[in-house]
Amino acid sequence: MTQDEQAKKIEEIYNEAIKKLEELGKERQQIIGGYIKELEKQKIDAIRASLLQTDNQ
Amino acid sequence: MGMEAKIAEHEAAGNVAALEAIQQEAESAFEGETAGLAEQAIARIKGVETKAAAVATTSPDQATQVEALGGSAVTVEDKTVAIDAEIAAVSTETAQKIQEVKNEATVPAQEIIPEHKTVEAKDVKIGSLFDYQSSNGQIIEVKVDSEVQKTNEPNPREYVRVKATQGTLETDLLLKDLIEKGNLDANEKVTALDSEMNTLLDGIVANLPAQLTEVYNSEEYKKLVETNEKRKVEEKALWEEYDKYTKGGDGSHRRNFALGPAGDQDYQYIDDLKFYNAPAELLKRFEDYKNTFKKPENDANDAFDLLYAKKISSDRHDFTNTVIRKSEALLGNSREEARKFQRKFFDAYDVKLQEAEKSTIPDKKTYINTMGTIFN
Repeated sequence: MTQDEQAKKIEEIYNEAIKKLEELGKERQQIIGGYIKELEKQKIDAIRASLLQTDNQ
Repeated sequence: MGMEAKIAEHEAAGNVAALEAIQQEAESAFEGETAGLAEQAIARIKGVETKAAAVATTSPDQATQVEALGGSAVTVEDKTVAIDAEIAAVSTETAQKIQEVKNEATVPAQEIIPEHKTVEAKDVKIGSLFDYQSSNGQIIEVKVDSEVQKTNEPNPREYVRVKATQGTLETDLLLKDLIEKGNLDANEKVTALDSEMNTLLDGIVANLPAQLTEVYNSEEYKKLVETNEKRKVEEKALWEEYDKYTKGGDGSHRRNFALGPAGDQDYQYIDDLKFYNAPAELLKRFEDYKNTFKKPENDANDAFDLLYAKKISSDRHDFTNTVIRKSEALLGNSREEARKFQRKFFDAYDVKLQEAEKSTIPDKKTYINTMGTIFN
C-alpha cells in the first residue's frame, strides 16, 4: 500500500469512529432524557396529589 | 517530497508535533491550503479521543435539570455506565485499527508515475500504476502485475499483465498500447471523469421521481399524516384550555413544550397550571399528549425523515462513494482538485433532488414539514 493509500485508509477509520461516537452520543442523551422524564413524572404526580388535596379541603 | 505527501506521512505516523510545525509555518507564509491540510490531519488524529470525551460527558444543562427535579448525579452515572464503556471502546478499537494499517508495508511513492510525466517503456515495472483509457472511453486505473513478456510470434510483441485497482478487471496489455493510452494529460482525465459521473448521476436521478412518489403514496406516509393531524388538533385544544386559566403568558414555553426535549420552560407549564388553580384533569391531558405523541413511533417528523431517507439513501450513498473513489484515484495528486470535483457533483445531486421533489410533492397541506411548529 502506498503512503497516500495508507493516509486515506486512516481517514476512513477516523470518519467511521466519529460517526459511531455521534450515534452513541445520541443514545446517551436519550438515556439521560428518559431519566429526566421519570423525574418530571414524579414531580407531576406530586403536584397532582397536592391539587387533589386542595380540592378536597 | 511535496508538502501534501509530507503531511500524509506525518499523519500516518501520528506525529502531531510535526504537523503543528507545518501548520504554523504555512500560516506564517499565508499558504492557506497547506495550513488547512495540516489542520485537518491534526483534527483527525486528535478527533476521536476529544469526541469520545465530549459525548461521554453529561451536559451542564442536563445536570442542572436532574438536580432541579430532585434527581442525583450518581443515578445518571449508573444509567450511563454501559454506554460509556461502549464509547471508550470506540477510541481503543480505532487506535488498534490505525496501528494495523500503519504496520502494513508501504510501497514508496516513487513507484507511482507522477502526473504529466510522459510514460516510457522503462517506466513499466511491477507495481507501476497507469491511468488507462479503455475503448469505451472510460478511464481505469491499473497496476502492472508482471514483468514485460513477449508473445510467441515471429515478430514478438511486448506485453504485461495488469489488474484494475478497483474491481476485478485483469488482462494483458500490449506495452505500446499501455504507453500510448497511459499518456493522458490532466484535462483529458477530468473530461472523461466528468462524462462518467454525469452518466451515473443521470441514471440515479431518473429513479428519484418514482422513489419519492412511492414515499408519498405509501401507507406509512398516510398514517404519519393522520397522526400529525391528530396531534395538531389536540395540541391546539390544549393551549386554548391553558389560556383560559393562565392568559397565555409570553408563549415561549409553548414552543419548547411542543418541539424540544425536557427543559426549564418545558415543564414551566406545570407550575403555571398549579399557580392558576387549573384542574388536575387538564394537567393529565398534557401528560397524555406527551405520552402519546412524543413517543418515537408517533413523532411524525422524525418518522418521515427516516421513511424518506430509506428510499433514496442507498443510491445516494453509492453515488457519493463512487464520486469520492474515482475522483481521488484519478486526481489523487491534487486533493484540493479532487475535493472541488466532488463538491461539484454533490451539489449537482442536491439540485436534481430538489427538482424531483418539486415535481412529486403532494398537496402542501398534507406534506409533513420537518420544521413544523405547533400552530401549523
